[in-house]
Amino acid sequence: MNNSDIQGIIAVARNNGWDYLPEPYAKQILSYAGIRTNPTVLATSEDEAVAAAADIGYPVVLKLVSPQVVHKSDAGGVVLNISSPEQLREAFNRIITGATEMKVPLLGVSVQKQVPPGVEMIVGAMSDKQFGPVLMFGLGGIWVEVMEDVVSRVIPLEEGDCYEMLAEIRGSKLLEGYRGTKPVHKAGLVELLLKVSQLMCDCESLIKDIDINPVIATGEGYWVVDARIGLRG
Amino acid sequence: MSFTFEDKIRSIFYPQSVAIVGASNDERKLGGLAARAILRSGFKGRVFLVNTRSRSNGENDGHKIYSSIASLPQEVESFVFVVPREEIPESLEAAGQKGGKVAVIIASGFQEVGEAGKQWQETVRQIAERYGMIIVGPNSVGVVNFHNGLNATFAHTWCELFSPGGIAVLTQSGGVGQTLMSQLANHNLGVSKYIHLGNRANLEFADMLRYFEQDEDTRIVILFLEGTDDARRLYRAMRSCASKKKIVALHGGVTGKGSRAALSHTGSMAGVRRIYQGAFRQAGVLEVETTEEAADVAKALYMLPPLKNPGAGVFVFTHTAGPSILATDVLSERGVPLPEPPERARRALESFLPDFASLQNPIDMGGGAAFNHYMYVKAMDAILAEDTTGAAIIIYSHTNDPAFRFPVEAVREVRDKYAKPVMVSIVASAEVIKHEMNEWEQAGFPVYLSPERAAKVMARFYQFYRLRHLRGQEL
Repeated sequence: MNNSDIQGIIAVARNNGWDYLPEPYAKQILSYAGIRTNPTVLATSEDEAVAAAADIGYPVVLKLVSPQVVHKSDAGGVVLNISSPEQLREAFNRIITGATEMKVPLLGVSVQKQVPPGVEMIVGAMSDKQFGPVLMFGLGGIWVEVMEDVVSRVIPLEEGDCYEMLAEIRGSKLLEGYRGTKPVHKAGLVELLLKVSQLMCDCESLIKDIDINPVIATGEGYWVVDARIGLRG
Repeated sequence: MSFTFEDKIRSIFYPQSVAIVGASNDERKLGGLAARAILRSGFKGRVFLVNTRSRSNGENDGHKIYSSIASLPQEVESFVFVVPREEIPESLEAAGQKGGKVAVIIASGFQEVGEAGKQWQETVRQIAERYGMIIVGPNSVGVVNFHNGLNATFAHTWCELFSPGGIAVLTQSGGVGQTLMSQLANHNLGVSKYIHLGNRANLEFADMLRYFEQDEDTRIVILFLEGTDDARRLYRAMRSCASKKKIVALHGGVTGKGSRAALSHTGSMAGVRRIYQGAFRQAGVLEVETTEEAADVAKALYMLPPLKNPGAGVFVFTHTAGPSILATDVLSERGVPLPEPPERARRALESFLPDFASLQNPIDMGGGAAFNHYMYVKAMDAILAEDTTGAAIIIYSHTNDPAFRFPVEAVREVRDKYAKPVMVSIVASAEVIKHEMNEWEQAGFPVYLSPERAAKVMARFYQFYRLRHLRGQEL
């Protein structure tokens, strides 16, 4: 990982007065840390978006990028399963119109590779007032708040801690494969947890928290499809 | 020679001399109980009694009561303060000048009562710092070393109640500490040391865990905590201590209501439950949910040999189906393997058990085994010999006939042959089986008075040793 690349992104964010990194920037930092994120391009016009989708390959996802909107899907800022330029243009305009109506500052729209289905997990890291940096792992996506199936460890973690976390969540059976799906690639998830732990150790003075939700775990590996990074004041 | 922090912690438990400040003849007062505790617990060091209100030449049990700390005839290593908060600063100052290294402050009214108390605590902390003294408390029940009779509390019966043993109690709350002690007493377990940290003016959990890590008399630490100011340091100390000793932890004040109680109770905000849970596991500390469970589990860890292979399962032996099914339900819900007897053991069981016996798991030998206990012995010999057997629970119901006796000695011989952990659950009233319980426990079998309770302890026992194996820690 190149620390100066990360510092560069954070400096840009600070200059803009953001207290957290919007998704494309957060993903950029994660990929510097060696974490697999789905290909994501920030587009500021309809034509840019169409060109980006052609590069990435359909189907794609469009997401609103605004330093003020954290819960993008609640704000109508996420459109999934876009499979043609026509659909893409329509979705792009819908997102822009919505954002304009809400009067939120807009950085653009991100065009992202739609990844194959898998188990949606959450990985988070934060600095606890008493313990210092800690890591969370659990069922992600829409289940986070309903199930609260999350376990925690103190950073830095060892490999054994990560495997224990996978086994410790109540929904651990989902990772073993269900209804004919393949078991998830556990070693991949373990590697993800270790990399988040390492990123938090390396950048404790810059990063307040990391929220990866969801990361899609599949039989072959994982894809981080949404992420947010909070910055220290 | 200068005293290190570690030397001073040792002085808490092994002082050459102790002064009780606020000692009294009146056993209806804390000062009277504290004097009695130190004088009648077999402590061999020098004891001095001080009471500034006493007219000259008072005495207690032949011990002179001095009217001031300054008038003590020699330097004193440890001072126990049973005087009101308002008198602590001056007394502590005097103790510092008298060479005191340890101050056990039983008085309350400090940080636990809010802002005003906080000031008092800060004053006291600063005086102690000036003299390099360690404070146990304030707002502490005190400390006991059961191996040398140092009872620096007002719980004057404790050294009679407990035999010296290997379990240490380290607690933030005096009330929970006393509850834990009562639970240990119910199990007849031997205690090494007791320390109630109270408000932790300058002595933290982490310091004590470092101490217990190397304390030769302690094999198991039962820890009750609500919160700490430096959880990262606590985590490191737990991790280090857990590599040498077994730690059973109980964490209170962690949900909404509990947290508010904790705030008013010790003046410290308890951490987030989930983070603590993770930290306990990561450190190799076994977290339990109740004081009863803490004592139950400590008993098993204390009395039983380690679980050498946590992949091997538990066998339940019984002559009465219902209770043993309750036990196996608990075990399977908690993920403890319950294998069936392998072929060779099965053939052995068939050779002497009645046709109607159930040879799966639980191994139910039928009502006859209630009268012919040697069936248990033979069945255990066949099953414990198998590699797939990790541990066992014997469950039997007592007929309440005083003539009814289990062949404990024979079971012990079989158990010793294989050195595997075996628990016993007796279904009967505590009174009826008192003698029998004693006999089992003398032979190294922890007894629990219900099958579900034994099964819960077994599940925790597995959880503990799985963690131990995973981390490659000493068993």
